[in-house]
Amino acid sequence: MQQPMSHWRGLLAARLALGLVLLYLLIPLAATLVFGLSGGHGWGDLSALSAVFGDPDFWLTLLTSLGLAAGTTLLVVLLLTPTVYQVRLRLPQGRFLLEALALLPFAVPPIVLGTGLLQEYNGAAASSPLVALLSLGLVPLLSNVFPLLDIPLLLVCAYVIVALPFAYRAIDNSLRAVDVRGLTEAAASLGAGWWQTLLQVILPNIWPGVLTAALLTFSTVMGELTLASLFNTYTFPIYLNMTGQNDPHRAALLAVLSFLLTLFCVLGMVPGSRLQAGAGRAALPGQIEGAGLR
Amino acid sequence: MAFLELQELTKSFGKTRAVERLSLEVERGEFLTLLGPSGCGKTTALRLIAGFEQPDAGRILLDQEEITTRPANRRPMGMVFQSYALFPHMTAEQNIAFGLRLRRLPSALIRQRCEELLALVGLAERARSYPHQLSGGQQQRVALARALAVEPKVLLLDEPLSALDAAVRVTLREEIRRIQQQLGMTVIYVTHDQEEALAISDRIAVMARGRLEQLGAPEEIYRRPRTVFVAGFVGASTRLSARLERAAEGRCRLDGILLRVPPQPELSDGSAVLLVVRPELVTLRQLDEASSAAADGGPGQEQENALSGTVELRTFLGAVTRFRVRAAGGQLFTVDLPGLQAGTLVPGQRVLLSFPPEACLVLPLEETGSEVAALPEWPPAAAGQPGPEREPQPEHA
Repeated sequence: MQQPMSHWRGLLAARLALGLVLLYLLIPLAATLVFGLSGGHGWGDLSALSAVFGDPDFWLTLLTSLGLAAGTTLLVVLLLTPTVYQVRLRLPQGRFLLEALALLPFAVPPIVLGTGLLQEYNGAAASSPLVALLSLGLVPLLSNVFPLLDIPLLLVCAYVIVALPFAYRAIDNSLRAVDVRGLTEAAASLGAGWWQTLLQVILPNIWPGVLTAALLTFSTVMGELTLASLFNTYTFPIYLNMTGQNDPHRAALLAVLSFLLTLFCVLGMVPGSRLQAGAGRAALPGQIEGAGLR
Repeated sequence: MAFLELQELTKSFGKTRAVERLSLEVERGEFLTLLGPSGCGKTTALRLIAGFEQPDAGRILLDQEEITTRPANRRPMGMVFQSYALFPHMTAEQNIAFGLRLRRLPSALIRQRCEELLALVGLAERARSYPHQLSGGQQQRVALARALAVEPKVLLLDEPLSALDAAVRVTLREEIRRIQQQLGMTVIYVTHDQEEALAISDRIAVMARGRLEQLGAPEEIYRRPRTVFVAGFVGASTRLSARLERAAEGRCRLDGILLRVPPQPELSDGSAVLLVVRPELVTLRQLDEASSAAADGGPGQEQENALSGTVELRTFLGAVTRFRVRAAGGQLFTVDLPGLQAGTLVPGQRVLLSFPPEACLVLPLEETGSEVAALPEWPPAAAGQPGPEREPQPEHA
């Protein structure tokens, strides 16, 4: 009789702990929502909400941030996935360098990164022969031939650097769990080229990691303030910050909207990753499950 | 002109020479096995053929066409890996269809081919199973079917059965042989398991230290090993270092005992040789006290190639019983007797062991004896079978 009692106690304690964690996470969010909706003429007044949606700056900044986040995510995934795969396959000794590079952004605060990039590409430094030499001619080319400062591409590049540590870890960990060499050689023996192998064999097996990398990059960009300010780009976090200084109720609603937006992104990505992970369990030698015949 | 030709292939990794001037010719429809211990270069040789590694020197010709530098995905070869390397996100059927889809064949044809191949490997009912839902043996069958699907000119198998348990290994190797013969496929098979190699191959290429030691039919490799290494690596044997007294008459001396061996006209008198005697060619006779005393007085003098000794170990191996017998001179013999003949022989018993002259294989030895020292231990530690763990080392005057 004692065993079931302890079992129920354990279950109750677990549920209690889970409830407490959920309360800890949800109470501030609910309070923010309540505060946002209580602006103007008391509780339930949706005028603040309609004011948010009626503000052209809201849509402008939201679309700008979404565009930047989508661009950064795309660039991160397109740059990192083939690179990490290729390094793991052909240059295992280069992994150390890649890991060091991926950790570097942690040591450089965004304000330093932003200032450095602006200094580098603003024309004065770009014309320096030393910079031209060290960058193998890329900086003068990018700053003079392609006016990077006029377009958000430089900001996207800066965001790629900021998101690099998280994205690299996610993709590299996924590749580590896969027999990259074996699968690549098996695909090659069946006639698959490099891209076919990456897209049809490797990518489906590291999909959860790539999705995690994309999600982390997306949410990082959606909440980034420092670099956007330095680059003079009017993004959603800047709009949120400015609104908060004038109208705290509207800022509270914007914060909840921002959270919901990120949540939808997560919910959109998680089922895909779970589906892939379910089908793509690693088949290791000796691993037998549901085997009837031999 | 051979179907597949390896000409002086050489491959190094850093300072390690993995394959050294390997030359081989494989005929169309032949089942050739690369056999050797770990690190002998057999897998590297296979990877060179597959195109996963590029040789430092040498050429590979397939059907009279040079493919040495051709990328792996453009070589008409199929490969089966030790780790199966099935695509985990695809079902058995999708795995098999992968190569066919790359070739943009019509869907109906792909489906039909998949069904045929699944039936060929006996997995028709597991078409929709994912690799993690299959046993090791089933996964390797799917891997085999996948490699066969693209109708390769040469099928390469890299220790495909190593990760499977013993019973499945035997069944699957027979199936691989059946399928190869049914399809008339040219196969190059890599293994370190000599029994596997002897059982399924048309020819065996024994490799050691990156070089080809001997190439021949299984019987030839077993009965007439040409080097000390092959004699030691393939099959159980008793190996004795002796010295030829009269080479042309086939007389040699082993620790003061005169033995008769087949005449060796190409060797000179006084040459150091290694005598190799297979365990099934030695007979044992129990000695009673009287004959034991007589034998002690002059071992093997009345009978040709007969030595008295003591049984040290008896191991039942099923079809045969294996004995380890220490001869009066200290030499260790491995003797296999069929179940009934093993009778009541037990450790500690005095016996007379004998073998006909033609049972002795004579291999010339280097004077240093380093060849014998480098011999692999028999049986391999993992096999857990008894045998002459400490073979008599050569003694040179």
